Amino acid sequence: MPDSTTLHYQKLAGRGSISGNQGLYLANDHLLITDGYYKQRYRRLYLKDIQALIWCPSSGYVPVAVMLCITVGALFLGSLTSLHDPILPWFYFCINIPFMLMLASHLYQAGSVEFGLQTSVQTIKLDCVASLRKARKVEQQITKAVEAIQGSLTDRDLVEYHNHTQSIPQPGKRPSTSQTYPS
Amino acid sequence: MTLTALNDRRKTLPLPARTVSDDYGREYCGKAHHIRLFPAIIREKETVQPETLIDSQQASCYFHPKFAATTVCAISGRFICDLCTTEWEGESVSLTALQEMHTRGGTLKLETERVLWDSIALVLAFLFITGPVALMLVAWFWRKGPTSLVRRSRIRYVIAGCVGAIDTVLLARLFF
Repeated sequence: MPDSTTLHYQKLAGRGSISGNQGLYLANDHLLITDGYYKQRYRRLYLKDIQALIWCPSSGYVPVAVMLCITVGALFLGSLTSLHDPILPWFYFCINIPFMLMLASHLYQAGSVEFGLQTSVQTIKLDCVASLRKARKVEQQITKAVEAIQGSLTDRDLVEYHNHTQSIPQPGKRPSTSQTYPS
Repeated sequence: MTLTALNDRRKTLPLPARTVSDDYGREYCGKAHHIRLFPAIIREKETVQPETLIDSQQASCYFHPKFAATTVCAISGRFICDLCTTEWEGESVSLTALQEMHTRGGTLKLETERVLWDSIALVLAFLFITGPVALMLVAWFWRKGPTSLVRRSRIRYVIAGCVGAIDTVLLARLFF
């Protein structure tokens, strides 16, 4: 049997928050999803089983950006209106620094997304990939690893599959009720 | 074959006609999805048909005596049929042997959870009053190395040990 006492993981994404701490790591033949702060739970997705990578924009980006802009603007105004004071403008400015950094970091993320991976038995949503920039980067890394194992799928293969199964979706046409809303 | 919509798990999207689709599925679930497909999506599922034993001279499966053995388990060495066989690290193994290995904790690839003693020691060290406990944890678990599967450094143990030692000295001076 091959030696499996040592495994080297490449970190793809990781995020700690109040709700949980999730990480995504890449090994030579699988992806490892870790959850938890003090008791780490592991889920493995083998690269040969990954069927699709899906992401869609989520609604969290704009409200957070607006709130941060308002906070930064208010603190900036505060420092402007207290210029007569020798200490107060610097006080406001120092408080404003973390908010400005948060805003810059938030704008750099370019949008918030929900990110998921589909296999034949489940679709796993990855909370650790929450920004557009990160989603694009992780997509590239996962695609490279999956295609190294599965090979690449061409549009022609897909059209042949559709022709074989007669299931090409019609653009602008809703699928049947049973297909869209499975019971 | 369908895809699950991420914004609403009850809704599904039919397979797109292209391997990489942007702005797909708005009409099915109300939100545009970016989708990248891989060859596994069109791969046909394999069905297992065990071979029935027809000759008494033929080797039978260890777990199913009525079926013919088709391979040898790479872990246990038992003769097994197609029904019992699965692939593990490129080898054919029996599901029972794999389960036994999982129970023994014999391989990293089967572990499902771990307690992160280095993180616990670090938190306990910074709580001051629990500094000696952190020091004991560091001493106890140091040889095991980093407790997470994905962590390779002992830096948490080192910090927890230093802070825990300072805590212990301060507590000793406080009470004795």
